[in-house]
Amino acid sequence: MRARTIMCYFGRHTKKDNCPICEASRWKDPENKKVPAKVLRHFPLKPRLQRLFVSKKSSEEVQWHKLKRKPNEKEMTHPADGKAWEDFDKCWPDFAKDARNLRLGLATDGFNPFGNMSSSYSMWPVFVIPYNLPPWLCMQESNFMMSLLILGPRSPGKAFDVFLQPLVEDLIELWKGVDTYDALTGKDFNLRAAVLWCIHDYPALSTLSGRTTSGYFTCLHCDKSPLSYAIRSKICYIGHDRFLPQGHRLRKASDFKSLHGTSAKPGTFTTEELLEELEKVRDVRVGQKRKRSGDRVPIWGRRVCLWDLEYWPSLKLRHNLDVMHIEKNVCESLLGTILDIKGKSKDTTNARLDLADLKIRKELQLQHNGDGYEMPRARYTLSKSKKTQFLNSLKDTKFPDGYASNIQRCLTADAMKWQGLKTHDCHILLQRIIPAGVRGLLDDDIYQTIAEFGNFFRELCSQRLNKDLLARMKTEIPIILCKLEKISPLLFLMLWFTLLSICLMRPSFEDLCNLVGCTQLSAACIL
Amino acid sequence: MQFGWMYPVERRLYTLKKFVRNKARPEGSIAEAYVADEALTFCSRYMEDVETRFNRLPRNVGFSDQSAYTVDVFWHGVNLIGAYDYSYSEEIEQLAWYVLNNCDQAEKYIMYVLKFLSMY
Repeated sequence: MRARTIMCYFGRHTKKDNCPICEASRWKDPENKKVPAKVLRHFPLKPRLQRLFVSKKSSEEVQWHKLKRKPNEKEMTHPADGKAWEDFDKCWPDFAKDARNLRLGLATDGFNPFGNMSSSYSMWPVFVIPYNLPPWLCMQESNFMMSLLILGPRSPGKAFDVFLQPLVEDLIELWKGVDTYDALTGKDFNLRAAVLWCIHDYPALSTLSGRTTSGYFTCLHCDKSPLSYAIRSKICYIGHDRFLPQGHRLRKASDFKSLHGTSAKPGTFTTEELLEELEKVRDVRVGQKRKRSGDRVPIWGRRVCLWDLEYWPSLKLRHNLDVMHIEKNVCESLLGTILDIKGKSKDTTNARLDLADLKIRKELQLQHNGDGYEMPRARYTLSKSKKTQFLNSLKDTKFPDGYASNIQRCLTADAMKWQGLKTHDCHILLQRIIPAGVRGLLDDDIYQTIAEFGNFFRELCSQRLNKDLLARMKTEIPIILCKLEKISPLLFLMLWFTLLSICLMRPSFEDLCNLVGCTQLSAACIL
Repeated sequence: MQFGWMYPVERRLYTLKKFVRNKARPEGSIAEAYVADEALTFCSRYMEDVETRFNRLPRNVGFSDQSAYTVDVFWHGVNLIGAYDYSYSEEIEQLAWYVLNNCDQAEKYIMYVLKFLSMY
């Protein structure tokens, strides 16, 4: 590995001393040739997948998805019930024929190996998860296989692609097939494996996929005519009524009718258009200065090596954004705004000024008051006495053993701030506590919308997903988002709600959820 | 959705974090410990007479040893973890009501008390 990560010395490049592209040396000290500039830890995938078949027991478990799974028309409990899996099987029938062929997931995230957050250090392990296993084994830690360990201290960013090469090389070989001994039949067979999707959080999306995650095209399924709109200091994403059917009641009542110049649903790229886009950035390399071209819409920054996989363009759902992080961000903004916590609330002076710029919601705009300005209190924040009521109800809540942590501990007695609010607390807060807690404290319409919102997450995160319910949820979520927008346009000035919305309102929503769920949904966005 | 979210992945990251022993070489120590861990995990899948993480009973497994409980209303069939403490101050009446109405073994004491009361 080079200091500027451009080249990965493996395979046919193993013995080279200099980069074939830019002639820079591979070693820290070119004279000595002992210490490489960077070292990528690669744990070969092939033998470990083969290892699954050495034991009779695990060889049987790997075939569970086809031999023992009882498919249910209505419910989804395993990725194999989902549409992405089905479509993949249809697309590659010779792969689907043998139940032993492995379907994998690719998960990655950065972490700081030192306990303290004061030193910034980010290393990125890449895990491979075999999805063939039954649900009770599938997401178990002992079944995760770490394939790459990308070194710190800086996160790889765009160079991730270079680091991914050895893994992709492995995957290409595995797609062709490798001879493997199967203990169950006692014979050799041709083992093949394919990656069905990646799991990561939202920022890692641009790292892994090369799609932009900032600016006007942040919204992952708005490749054409996005919802973004530039306000004072940032870009906001408003006007979710565009997702509603023509002539809908909420469409007429929308504040943002003429904001985008179009009232049609934002569009996504088809696979062909996407491939065309990627063709334009085929030559983009890390460390190279990009030329600004006027005509190109800057959505896809580079073509990552995952596209070298033969089956990659045919996948339905390539990237799963993690629902855990989205839930946390959404919950924090919602709670911060409702409790009006300083620094966390999205209901800021700037947001009110933006309202004035947009010429909407006169009652929320700053009021001239003698020498200064006054910020009128909004309906969706709790007054001081109601805050106490909310906290008291939180204090009285008892959870079943092991269901949640001691959440009331995270909020101070006057609800002026929180500390140590973990992702799982947010999960519980958003789905159960906020909807129940604000009942009677906020106006009915606000309470109902928040409850619907929490309920949506709950359905999404349930262990069994009902297909009918998902179809209903698909029509409901744009309405919920429009209602939220109606209550507080400010909330929508931030990314997280949109991120969610995108995910939720995607046209092929059902395909996503069919995958098994929530994450997908709220997540899966790129096509 | 459990198959697409990151809770297990983040847990795994924590395991990796614990592997760091030489803080000057975090990647190296993780790689070394990971290989050892992987090897041991692999071996433990084949052991039968030794307790491994693959053949031991989970902590919360239920059991049905009726003889362990003398009174069947207290039969919950789970292993309780942690220390116990008695705090019946508010619920004692409800508890007593439940036992009197649901427990067969309490029948003879109820009869006894009723008989005793009827004498006066």
